[in-house]
Amino acid sequence: MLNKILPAEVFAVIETRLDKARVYELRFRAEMPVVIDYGGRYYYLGKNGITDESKNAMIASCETVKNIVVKATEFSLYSVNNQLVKGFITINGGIRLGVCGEIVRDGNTVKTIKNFSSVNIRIPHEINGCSLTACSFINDTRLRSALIVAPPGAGKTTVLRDLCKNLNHDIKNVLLVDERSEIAAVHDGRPQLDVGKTTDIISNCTKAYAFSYGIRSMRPDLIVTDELMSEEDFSAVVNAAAGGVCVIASVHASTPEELFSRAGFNWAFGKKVFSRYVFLSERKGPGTYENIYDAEMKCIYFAS
Amino acid sequence: MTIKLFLLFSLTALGTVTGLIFSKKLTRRRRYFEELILLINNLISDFRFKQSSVCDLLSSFEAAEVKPTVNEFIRYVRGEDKELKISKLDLSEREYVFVKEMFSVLGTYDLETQVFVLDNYKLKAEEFYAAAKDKEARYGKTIVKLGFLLGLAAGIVLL
Repeated sequence: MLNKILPAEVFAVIETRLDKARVYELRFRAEMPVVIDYGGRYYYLGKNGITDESKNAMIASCETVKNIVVKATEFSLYSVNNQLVKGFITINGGIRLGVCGEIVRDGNTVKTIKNFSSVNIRIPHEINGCSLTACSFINDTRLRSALIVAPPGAGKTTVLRDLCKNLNHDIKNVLLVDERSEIAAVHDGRPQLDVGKTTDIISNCTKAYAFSYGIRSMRPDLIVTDELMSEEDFSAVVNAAAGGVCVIASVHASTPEELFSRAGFNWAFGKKVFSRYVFLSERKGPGTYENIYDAEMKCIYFAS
Repeated sequence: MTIKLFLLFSLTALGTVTGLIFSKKLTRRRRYFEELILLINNLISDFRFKQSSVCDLLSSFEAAEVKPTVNEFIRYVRGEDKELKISKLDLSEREYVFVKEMFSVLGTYDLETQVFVLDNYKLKAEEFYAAAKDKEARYGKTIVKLGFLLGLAAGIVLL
């Protein structure tokens, strides 16, 4: 898929000079050097490969940025407006494009984005087994609700995806609430990434709606969802747990203190919804396990 | 004598066939724009209600004259061609520029703008269609008759 959306010279460099398994992101900004996240670190992308010098980097034109977005939609920009107004497009292969540009509004409603100024191509990598440590604490004597806590880029989504697959073995029905289509990356009704054989997926909608609709219609044993960002998100989780459904979610934070400062978390903590708090970091690369805590925030696993 | 008659017949036939070829060109031009207008109508309708991908919409469009253009666009969208190459076929320079421009902006706008743009292209396509239809009506049969007469005249002169 990348060969269809990237400029030929950029794709040629990636194909011939880089290890594709280590390419996580490509950033194209209008009239700026092309940037690549290679192996967890950002570099400029030049004709000869990665470089720390911006003067050696390839420059993306405005036309390049627009062409990437248009080609990613297979020349069907009109068909992805629902995603575009949220700032992203998910395409074949689970690749996700974050898009910046001019917002077109109609009163308070965002109608579309035009005049794209930058695009961030995020390339997913499935890492089988990366959730096994978390699994052993989340599904020990029984299945427990858990929160995966990590800063951006530390592997929350990759671990959640792997958790979905691993917990499929014991669990009958998993409901995946994929608000931003990052975990399963559903495209044309098909998940582009493996999230297990007994997983129902709801994507592109709010957690509150997905939880209530999903619980009523799919009767899940477990709900897996991505970042809890607001009090409404935490409230949806608390309500689901009150109905007897386990929930595994993620949240942005690096330390327990930071976690407690998140809006809505204190209240959810008081309700004792989560039995496990799994902290991740990039200390030894994305997906590094730090401490794991129980419902009382007592450490039950110490990072090595 | 036989040879002369054969020559007369051949030249007449050649003239008639040449006339038919030019007449068919006019008919193809008219049909091209007829099908293009139908295509635009289908696209606008599909964009509004189904919002399927442009490749799916175009692949299922049944047409004779505009199909080569559609296939060229589909090849470009699928990445089989690096650049959008539209064949000129029987189009005039103005018509060709119009068609190439239309396909180059297909799928590059949000829904509302895309429908608005296509509506404008449809108006222009209708103008080209009216002109092509008028030209076909005026010259279509005349060219065949002219070809026949020229062929016959050439045969008689050589006799």
